[in-house]
Order: sequence, then structure tokens, then C-alpha cells
Amino acid sequence: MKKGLITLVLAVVAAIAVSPVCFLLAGMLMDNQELTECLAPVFSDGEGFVRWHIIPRYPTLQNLVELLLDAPEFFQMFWNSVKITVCILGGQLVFGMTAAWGLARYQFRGKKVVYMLFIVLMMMPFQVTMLSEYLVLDSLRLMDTLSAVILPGIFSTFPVFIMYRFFCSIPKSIIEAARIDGAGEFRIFLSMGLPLGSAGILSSLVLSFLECWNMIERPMLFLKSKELWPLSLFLPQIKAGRAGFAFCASLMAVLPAIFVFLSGQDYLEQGIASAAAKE
Amino acid sequence: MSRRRIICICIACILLAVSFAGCERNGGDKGDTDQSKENAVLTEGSGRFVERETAVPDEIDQIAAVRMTENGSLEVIGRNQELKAYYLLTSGDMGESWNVTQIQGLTEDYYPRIAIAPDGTTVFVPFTSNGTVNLKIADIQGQTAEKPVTMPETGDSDNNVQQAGYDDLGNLLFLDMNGSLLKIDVDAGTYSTPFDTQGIGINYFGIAGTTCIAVYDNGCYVFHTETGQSMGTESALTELIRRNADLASTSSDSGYPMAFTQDGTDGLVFASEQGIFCQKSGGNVIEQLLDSSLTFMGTGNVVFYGVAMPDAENIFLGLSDKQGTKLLHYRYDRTAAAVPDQELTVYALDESNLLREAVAVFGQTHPDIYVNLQIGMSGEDSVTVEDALSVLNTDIMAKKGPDVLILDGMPLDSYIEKGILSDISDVVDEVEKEDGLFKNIRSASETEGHIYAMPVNFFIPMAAGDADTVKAAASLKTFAARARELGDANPSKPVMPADGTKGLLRELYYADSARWRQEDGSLNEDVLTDYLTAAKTLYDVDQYSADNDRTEIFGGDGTVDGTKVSSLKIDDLFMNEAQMTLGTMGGAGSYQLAKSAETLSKTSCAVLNSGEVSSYVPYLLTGVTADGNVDMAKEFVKVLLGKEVGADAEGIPVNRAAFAGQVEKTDQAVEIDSSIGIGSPDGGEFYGYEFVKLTESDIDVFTGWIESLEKPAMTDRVIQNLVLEQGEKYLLGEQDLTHTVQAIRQKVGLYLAE
Amino acid sequence: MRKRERTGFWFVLPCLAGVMVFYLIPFADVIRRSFQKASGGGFAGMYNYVQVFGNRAFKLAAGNTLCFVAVCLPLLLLLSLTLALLLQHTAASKLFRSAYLMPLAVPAASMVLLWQLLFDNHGILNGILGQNVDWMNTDASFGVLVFSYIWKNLGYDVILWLAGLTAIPGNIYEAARVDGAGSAKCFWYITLPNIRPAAFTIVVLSLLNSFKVFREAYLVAGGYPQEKIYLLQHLFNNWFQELSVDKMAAGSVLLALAAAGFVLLLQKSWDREEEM
Repeated sequence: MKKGLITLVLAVVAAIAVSPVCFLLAGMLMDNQELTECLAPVFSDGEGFVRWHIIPRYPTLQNLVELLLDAPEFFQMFWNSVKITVCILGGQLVFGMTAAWGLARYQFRGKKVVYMLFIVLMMMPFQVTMLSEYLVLDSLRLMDTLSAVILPGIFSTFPVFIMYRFFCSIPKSIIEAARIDGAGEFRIFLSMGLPLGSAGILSSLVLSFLECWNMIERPMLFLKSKELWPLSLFLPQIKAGRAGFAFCASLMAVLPAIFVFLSGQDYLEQGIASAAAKE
Repeated sequence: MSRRRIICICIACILLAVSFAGCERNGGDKGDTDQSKENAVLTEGSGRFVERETAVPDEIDQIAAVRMTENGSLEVIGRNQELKAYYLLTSGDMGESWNVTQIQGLTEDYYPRIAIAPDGTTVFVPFTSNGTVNLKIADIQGQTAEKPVTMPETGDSDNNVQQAGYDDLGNLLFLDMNGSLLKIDVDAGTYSTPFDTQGIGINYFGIAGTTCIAVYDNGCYVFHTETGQSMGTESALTELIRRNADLASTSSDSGYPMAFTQDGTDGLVFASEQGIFCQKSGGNVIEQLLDSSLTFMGTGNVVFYGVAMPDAENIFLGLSDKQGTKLLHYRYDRTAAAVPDQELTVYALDESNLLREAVAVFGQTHPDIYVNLQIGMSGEDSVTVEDALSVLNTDIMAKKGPDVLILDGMPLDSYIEKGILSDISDVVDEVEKEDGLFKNIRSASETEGHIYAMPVNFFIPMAAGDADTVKAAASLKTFAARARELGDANPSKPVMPADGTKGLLRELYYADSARWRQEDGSLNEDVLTDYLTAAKTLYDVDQYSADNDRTEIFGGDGTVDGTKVSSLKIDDLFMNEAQMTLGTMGGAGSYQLAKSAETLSKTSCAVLNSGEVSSYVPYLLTGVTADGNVDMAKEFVKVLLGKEVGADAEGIPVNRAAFAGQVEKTDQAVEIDSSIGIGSPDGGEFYGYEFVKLTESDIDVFTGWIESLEKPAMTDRVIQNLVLEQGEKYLLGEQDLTHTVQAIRQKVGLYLAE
Repeated sequence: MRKRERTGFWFVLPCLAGVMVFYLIPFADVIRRSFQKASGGGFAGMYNYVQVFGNRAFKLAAGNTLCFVAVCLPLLLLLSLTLALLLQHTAASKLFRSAYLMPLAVPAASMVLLWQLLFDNHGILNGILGQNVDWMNTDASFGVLVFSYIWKNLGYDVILWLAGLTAIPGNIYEAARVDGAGSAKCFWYITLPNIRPAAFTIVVLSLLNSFKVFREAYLVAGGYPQEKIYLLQHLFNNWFQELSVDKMAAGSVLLALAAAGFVLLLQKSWDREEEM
């Protein structure tokens, strides 16, 4: 009885969490007429309330086809997103990971200050520094190139913060044992740090992925040429007759994120678990 | 355990890398071809096509057809609208000089379809009567012969020719009302149908050499004009048409979304609103010869009636835009850099055809300057106004901002205060000296003796109705009272047109908001309350129709060409849809239209006043940034404020010469169309009225209204949005008056406190 | 030992260099600007700070932001901890966890559409409740914002808590039970102290995420939303719209100080825990 109640509570919360994706899915499958009908109360000052059909009356893939066939810019932006995301994640693997390792496993002067600095910089909202960042990027002649989005993304301190926790949780004794065996410091990092922290690394990558994939302000500000814009800026405003298209575009933008998320989730959980284990 | 994990990670990484690399290669290719299609010629070193408008003899005020003839001369059919005469123009020197021959023996005033054959003879196609169309074939001396041709039947009405065209062999093709392509045997007076369109109706066609491109809703067929066989090269064009639905069908009687011809080497050349393109013979790649963005092609609402390409370096294009018809000459300039070396950036939040027009006019006199027109809100992506402004401000702060700013919707006061804008009173003075300006608008645009932003044109809030209503337009309060009075007198008769909440609030805002601001910047709440009360009265006066009529069209808000105004519709009055109406008036044209409609409605119109000040709605507030190229920017502002651009604009130009030009145009308009017919919305009734010419006294009245204007309506976007948003809730009854005023005060207070 | 110290520094250096260029220099520039006049760029001393402190909008926004964090953080931590505790002994926990993570993947633009449809006057929520509450224009808007924040970050925090919970060795509980401790006592004396260290990570990440709720709030309700959800980011955004970079710089330096103070405090208490 108690078990059943607990499951019910959990299921309700889960349903609330999943609902928007179902909502987008239903919207994608509706034809424009049904959508217009459903949305009319909000978008025009009509009467009544929005009704939403979880199962569309006449399911159609018309919007999806339109998106995939008639919107070449969609693919362009999709690949821009892929390029940006892959480059940032790759860069974070190289720079963020080493920094996290250095901070976690070594003592040196100013370490606490650096760590603190990383956290505070991580907390700053983008609007605050955007003008100054613009000036820096401009003086480096990076404006209007994908690098203007990628480089700051690589040096984001968020992954360092997460990976730091995981590296901290590796028992000292293992490292010391490797050291006694005569392994070099970089070798220890590669052969001990990477595998033992792999779960943490992957979970930080999954989170970074979501961040990059949904990035809005930075590309909007630093990329002047629309040919360089990522998918997150594609999602058009909902207009008459275009609602279905927008739904489709939204869902197509969510899908890769969900995919990466689900495939990385096991690592995420294990990673976080092993990180928390020793704290 | 750990080893297994390493292996797993390695494999995963490799897979990821490979898949992304593969994807990226595909994606990259895709991107590259897309790019090359669009920019190939533009980016290839130096040299580009330069636009120039070709002058035609004075008697021609309309151009109907353009073609290169076999003997290498450029032939144009022109018309004089007043004399209703047609002329044949030929030029052997690329349009530098013209031979003019008037066509003799034409019996109709107007021939809707005209086509030129390769040998220079011209066919004039009248409307069909009794199943036969009596073609007039004019030879190059201007002498005509009549040739009757039987048309296919279409049930009860006559089957008119929708479009006519000659191929390079002299075959004449018609498109009929059924959307089928006919090949005409002129001498026999018969038609044949060798083109198999699989039952699909053709919207329009184009001919290049011996290739006929027949466009339908979802693509096109490409036929050989002689054999009627499909050429199999339609895929690239079809893709283009599918991508841009505007290319698929004709929206205007005077031209087509695309026009086709052949270059010297069998390549297919065509013009559209996006520019001029070339598809090499047999190939499937379309390359762009010319980007339309700096030319008249790109000014919006443009249709084409012919393109001719004498050689690889010259293209002639006949197009018609809002101004009328134009013959444009694009000459390939080898010395010009592919992109002009100097760049002038013009930034506006919203799209505007008027602005594009100004860019094209500016380009004619400044071919060495590339005007980069940036539109902040394309509506195609998830960029909001605030986002666009953030980007713009960052650019400005980094001293990389635009040179010319169109300040509509921008925080004008902050820009002035922060020293972003430079004083443009010297340019304004220059224009004033040359053409004259409306002094009151000029002085209303001054801030402490400087002009930082000058509107290019403006709109006047107006009201229309019977004599008492017009008298009541002196203030919102009396106007609302009059509405109540009319409503009480006859509850079953609608008083106000169904404009929707936002539309009504906006129009009243334009009339009233100039007096809201107090000395300290805050809003006068009493005045605001009066405004809301008046709006509510006007909205509620036709309570019974609230259920069906008051819904705003999904997504639309009745805006005209980028301006956020809705025009004064007298039609509602004589159609008994309303007894009084309000809206804005933009220019002599709309005043003439109102005057003409008033002959039927027996009403009059007047400026809708707040009771304290009479205000106007400024449009295209132009400013020059202090950090940009100020001199060049001022040149542009001069063109924008000049008489050439303003005369055809939507809105009343501040330039007096442009206004005079606008008034003059109204006379011509009467010559072209003498009357108008309108069906009532339910289709039951039909109303028609004659266009009247504006008399001297009409023009004096109109000028008097303009000169009495004192202040612009409050242009602050944030305040306007807040008031409209809250006001809408009040009108819909979701919020009472006190709460509405309180909400507005709170939000505006916050805004001002920042 | 000195060599080891240097090695650690070398590991950090490449990243630190990048952070310097792309984050620290811009931030230093912001600090510089906070002491300058907006137009002209002359030295303004503390003028901007005085302006900001005296600004009604800033006080309101700072208060709201503080209030938002004060309500959201404990609520989110508590809710997610409860769910994590419930999940711990449920068979289908993996399925639920996947579901809870879903909101994190939905991009802001789609979220906004959803929010509009849900909370509009004619929206789904009013349709279900049969009421006519203007969610985004009354004090309820604060609730909506809190809800959307919690909805989005719940799954993330649940996972973090679960990680902390599974790390507690089972034999401690057994020992406690043998000593006759009830489940409440177990929770209070064993679970809580043992997951406290994990809280540092969770609190910092949750605080970080609370700043990210702004994009949605702003897209749904615009730059001037209902007074209760007027956050610091709204103010910064609006300041920037009007080019008041001086005030924005001063305001953001204050925000940075507050955030740094908060994290320092948190870390201090956490360090004490570790020493114990």
C-alpha cells in the first residue's frame, strides 16, 4: 500500500516532467488547421481556453516533411550546431579536464584563489560581460567566426567545477601507489585519472552538451552572418499557419539533446555517484 | 574493470569522431554548394553588375514589353496612359537613344497582353469576345493587321489570354484562363496544345530561346517550344520555386514573379526579387549574377514583364514596383570591385520598402558605395526586439555600429542622452533649402536646437463620420460620447468598425499620447484614465457584436508596409458596417481615396485630436551615429529625405516637394483608374464610386491639417507596449480601470526608475 | 615536493590562460567600467555605485532575486531530496530518473511556447481550473517562475542527491537499527550528516541554474514583467537596452561580490564539516 502510494507520487512527478516533450510531439503531428483551432484562444483574443489534443485528430507528417524538404537553412544551422558543440566538448576535454586534475590532485600556491575565481566567473550572467567579451573577441579578430562562440565555450569553468569533484574522489592511496611504481605525473593523469574519473568527465560533457546545444545569446551577439547561426536560433516565432512548423523545429532541436542525454545518462549517474562517494 | 572502461571509452570516442567527421563532410558539402549557388559571381574577384535606370522618351509613362530582336536592337513597347496610345521604341545603342514609332490602327484603349516577336513585330492581345480574340499584329513600322484566333471554351464566360509570349523561332504561345499552354497558329487562327502539363494548371510561363518554363503552384515544367517535349531540366528551378512560394504564382496583373531570357551561350537567365540568376545549359546549378539587395529589384512588391540580355555584360530588365514601371540597365563593370570598396551600414528594426527604395536610389548616384541594409527583426528566427537591440547596442558601444540608424522602436532619448547620435540639422537645412520641409514637423523634431532624429514621413490620426461626429473628433472624450450617443439612438446599427482591441488602442494612442508625459517624465494618470475610458466606450458601444466580429486576425495586426498604423477606412461607413470610424491617413493618395469614398458615404473626416495637442505618427525616424562615417551617412539621409523617395511613400513626406509630387500623382491616378467597385464582406451588396480629383481647396484643407500638427505621438516603444498590453485586458473586461491604471503606473514607474 | 607543485600548476595553466582571456579580462573591464561615466568615459569614482544603491528598480530587482533564491533553493533541495529518498527503494527508479531529466533537454524557445499556452489568460491551466486567473500579471507569476525553475532542475538535483545517498555505507544504518533507532532517527543522525558534504556541489549548481531561469521569464513576460518576478537580469537587460553601461557594470560587480560571498561562506561551512 505504502509502496503503491510512493510509486504513484513518483509517477505523477514523472508525468509532469515528460509532458512538454509529449506536447511538442503532438503539436508536430497536428495539421495546421487543428493547431490554429487549438491555439486560437491565446494568440488571438478569442473566447474559451486552449485545448490540447494529446492524440491529434488527423495525425500528419506534413510539417515534418516541410521542415526537412523546404528549409535548407535548417540543415545548415543543424551542422553549425554540431560543429560548435563538438569543438567545444573536445576543447573542454583537453583544457577543462587537465585543469580540474591539477586543481584536484595538487597543492600549489594560489590554488584556492583560482578555484574560487572559477566558481565566481561561472556564476556571472552573460549580459554582464557581453560587451567586454565582444571587445576582447573583436581585438582578437574572432568576431563573426565560429571561434567567437567556440573558444569562450571551451574555457567555460563549469566543466572544471564538475570534474574537479570527481577527481577529488579518487583515493589518494591509488595515486601514491602509481607514483611509487615510478609513473610520471602526466602518465598518472592518463592512466589513473582518466579511467577513474571517466564517469565524471562524461557527465560533465553531457551537461555541457545541453548547454551548447541550447546556447542563444552568445551566437546571436558574436555571429553576424546568419549562415553561421546554430539551430537554437532557428526556432521561428509562432505565427499564423506556421505553428506546426515551429513545433517541428522545436522537436527536432530537442531530439539530439534527448538522445545524447539518454545515452550518457548511465555515466552521468555512475559518475555523480562515484564522485559523491568519497566526499 | 578500469581497462574495460578505457576500451569502451576509446571505442565510443572513435565512433563519435568518425560519425561526426562523416556528417560534417556531408554537411560541409551541402553548405558549400548552397553558398556557391548564391554568391559565386559576387565573390569572384573584381567586377560586378551596376544598376542604372534607362531613360525612355517623355511620352512613355508605362512600359509593357522588352526584348532583343534578331537584328540586335533593343525593342520596348511603351504606353502613354493619358493618350491611351502605344509606342514602339527601338534602340541600337543599349538604350542611349531611342527611335519612337506610334502604333497605328489599334482599336482598344487597353491591351492587357503584349508580346514582341524575334523579328520585331508585336502582338497586342485584347480581351476575348464571343470565343475569339482579335489580335493586332504590329510590324516594325507601327502598322497593324488584325488576326482573329479562336480560343478554347471555358463554360459560360469568355476565355481570356492570361499571358502571351514569343520564342526565338517566332512561335506564339498563350496561357489561357484554364491554365493551359496553347501554341497559336496566327495565320490559321487556331491553337494547338502540344505541352503536356499532366492536368496541372499553369500560373504563368517564361520563354528563353526555344525553352518554355511553365510555372505551377509547386514547381515548373520545362518544354521545348517547337516540339512540346519536356527538356528534363526543371529540378533546380522547381526546388527554387518550392523554397520560395512567392515565385509560384502571379499576384499582379502587370507582371510576373520571374522573367526569363537566354544568354549568348544557351544558358537560361532569369530575374526574380532575389536578383538575376543563370542556369547553364543542361546544368542543374543556378548561379547568381546579381544580388538584388542594393537595387530596385529588391525594394519589395516588384514584378517583372521582361528581361533582355544583348550580351554577357548587359542586361535590361523591365519591372514594375509601387512607383510604376521602370526599364533598368545592368552593365557589368570590370573595374568596379565585386563589392564596392566603401560601405555604409543602415540599420532598421523592421523591414521597409521605402527604405529599400532609398537604398536603390542612393546606389544610382553612389555606385562606389555598398549600402549594407541590416534589418534587426526578420521574423524568421527566435530573435526578439530586445535581443536585436542588445546586439545593436553592443555594436554601437564597440564602435562597430551602423552609420545610419532608423530609430523607430529604439530608445531614442537614451541614445541622444548618451551622445550616440550626431546632429543632422545641417542636412535637414540643406533639404529644406532645396525642397522645403513642413516647418512644424521640423521644429517638433528639434531637441535643444539640434536635430538628432528626423522622420522621413508621418501619418495623421483621423476620424470620419457625419458632421456631428467630425466635430466631436476635437477630443477623445467628445468622440467617445458621440459614439455612445449614436449607439443609444439606434442600438441595432453598428457604430464602430470591428478593428480589434489592439488596433483601436493603438489608433487612440497615436491621437492622445503626446500629452501624457509630465515634466518629470512620469505619465499623467488622469489623462491616461480618460484615454482608457474613451477606448472602453468605443469598444463597448457595439456590445452585441463582441462574439463574432472582435477577434483580431490570427497573427496580423493590420499594419501597413512596416508601419504600425491602420488606414482610415471610409468603406465601412457606406457599407453600413459602421457610423463612425478612425484610422490614420498617410499621404495625398489616401486623402483622395477618402474624398472619393465620401461621395458615397456622405460623411467627412477630420484630424482626431487629444483635445490639447494635435499629434502625428512619425515614421522612419532617421539618425546618424556619431562614431560612424558621418559624411557618407548624411548623404544617405539627404536621399532619404529627398523628394525622389518621399513622393511615392506610404505616409506624408516631410519634404514639401515630395508632398507636391504626391499630390500631383493623385491626379494621374484618376487618369489610370477612374472608379472602384467593392463588394460588401458578406458578398450581398456591391458598391461603386468614382475617383474624384482633389480640388485646390481640398489640398488647402489637407495642408492645413498637416501644418496644424504640433507634437509627435509618444514614440517610446516600451511605454506604448505596456499601455497597449494592459489596455487590452481592460477592454476585454479582464481587469478593471483602477487596476489597469495602477498596473501601467507600476510598470512605467519601474521603467523610468531604471 | 616543489616539482609536484609546479606540475599541478602546469596542469591548470592552459585552461587558466583561456579563462583569463575570455572571462577574467572581460570581467576586469566590467569592473573598470563600473568606475567610469557612461558617456565620455571619465573617472566617476563611486558615483555609479551610489546611483545603483539609490535606484528603486535595483532595490526591487535585488530583493526579488534574493527572495527567489531564498524560496527556490531550499524548496528545490528539499523536494529533490524527498524524491531521491522515495526513489531509493523503488524498483522502476531508472525509468523515473530518465523522465525527471527530460525538462533539461527542452530548449528555452520551446519552453516559452509551452508556458504561454499553459499560463495565458485563455491557457490550458485556466481551462482545467475553470478560472480566469491572469497568472503572469498577478503575484501568482512568482509562483509560476518558482515552479518552472523547480520543474526544470528537479531531475538534476535528484540525481545528485541519489549519488550522495548511495555513497552512505549500509552498515551504519544496520548498526543504528541494532541500537534501536527508528527511521526518523536514522535519517536525522545518519543520512543528513552523511549527505551534507554533497550539498556543496548541489547548492552551487542550483544557484547557478537559478540565474538561468531568466531567459524563460523574459521571453514569456517581456522586459517589464509583473513586479514580483522582476529580477536582476531583467534590470541588467533593460539597462543595456538604454546603454546605461555604467550602472550595469556597478550592479554586476555587486552581484559578483554577493555570489563570491555566498560561495565563500558555503565553502567555509563545508570545510568545517570535513575537518570534523
